[in-house]
Amino acid sequence: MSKPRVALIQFPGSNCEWETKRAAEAAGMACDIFRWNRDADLLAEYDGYLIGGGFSYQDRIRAGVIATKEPIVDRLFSEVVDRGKPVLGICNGAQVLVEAGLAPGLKPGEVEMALAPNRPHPEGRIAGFCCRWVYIKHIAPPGRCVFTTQVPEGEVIPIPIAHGEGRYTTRTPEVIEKLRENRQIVFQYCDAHGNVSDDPEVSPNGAVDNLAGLCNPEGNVLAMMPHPERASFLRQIPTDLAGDWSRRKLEAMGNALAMAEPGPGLAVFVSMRDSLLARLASMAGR
Amino acid sequence: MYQVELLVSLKIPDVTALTAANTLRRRMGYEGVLDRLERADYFLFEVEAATPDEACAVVRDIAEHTNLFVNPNKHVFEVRPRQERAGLARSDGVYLVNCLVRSLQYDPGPGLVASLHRLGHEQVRSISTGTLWTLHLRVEGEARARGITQSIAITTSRSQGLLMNPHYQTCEVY
Repeated sequence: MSKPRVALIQFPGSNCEWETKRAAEAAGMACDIFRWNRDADLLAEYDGYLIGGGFSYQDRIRAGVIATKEPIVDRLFSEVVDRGKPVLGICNGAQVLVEAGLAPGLKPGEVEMALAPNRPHPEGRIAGFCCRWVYIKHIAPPGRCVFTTQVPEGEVIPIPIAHGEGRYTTRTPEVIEKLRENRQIVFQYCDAHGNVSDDPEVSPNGAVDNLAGLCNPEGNVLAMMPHPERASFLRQIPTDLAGDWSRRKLEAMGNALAMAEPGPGLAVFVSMRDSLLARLASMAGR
Repeated sequence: MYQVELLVSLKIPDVTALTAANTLRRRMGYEGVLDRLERADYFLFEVEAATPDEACAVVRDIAEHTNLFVNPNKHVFEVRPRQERAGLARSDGVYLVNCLVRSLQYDPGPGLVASLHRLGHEQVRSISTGTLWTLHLRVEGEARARGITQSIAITTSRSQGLLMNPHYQTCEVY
């Protein structure tokens, strides 16, 4: 079977296209960078979608919102909601998905949450942009989300974040209850040992429920603030992290081939590939 | 105690306001309705002073000399007593509607007050912040102008609303 084809949607201000494409290709998918102003109907030719990080439209008004009014998002919406194709939004991509009503998607199209500015410093200083490595824990049950089929439940993943507006919040407490009930919370911020905590050192932006990533009820949409594409190869892992990944990096140091081995974030893309292959096989079998 | 507004806007064309206006006209159907859209950083000061003029003078001094609110290389500013929420201004068939967007959860105001106190401006008791959008709307009737502004402001779905997300922001239309 040929490789699944995915379109990585590029808005003006996107800036993670190439490393996201590289991770998708390393996972075994064919990935095209798809400019936002191309004929949106051409999106239908793809099996799945990626929206990477950056600052679409320079985050004017607030992160992600201008992009959602573009015709390409209309087309994306119908491919994802009506045809069940998967879309992964990373960082600014997650902001686009939330503002487009695709995540959490309890009522598709309705804006049910926000990715608000990060929690400020307790003394009232503005928190601003937060760029560092954190840990996230995969808490969704097996098979819940098409992007984490290769990530065991309970797995702790070191991963970088880089955002100023990453605090999941909602004025509707029922939304959070529903997310818990539906097991739509896919990733939570945690410490190196997997302990979930509100401590700003652990949960850097103050997100409700320490939310780092959530899926829609069908599991084919994942909106995550951390960057799996920046943790997709061993060479990207810092050596001063707690845990096994830094040790592996240190052991591999000096060996270029070993440095190109998968990092913890690649599992998200491999899961997407596997899900797409299964979906394509199922469609071919009909 | 007097309330004083400080409005800070860019000297050059404001690309955020231009992009918002462009999106509203091209994508959301407000061509011919939205004449113009302006944006300013909004600060509401509560100042201990003997008169409103004295309170305004305090805020003007802060704006000109602290470098906390205004960078004279790129900003212009206006200081005025807090505006009463009266009827909408109208000229040549165009209503001017203000939409003040504020954060529901966190406000940098206390941090700004602490900084001002360190600089000796202890007359300032509080500051609240926001973004003030001014919409120039060519519509019939004040109620319609207010209604359109609400629709433009509050984002309820991927197709409706733009200027604020009600899950962490609030807006006042006046």
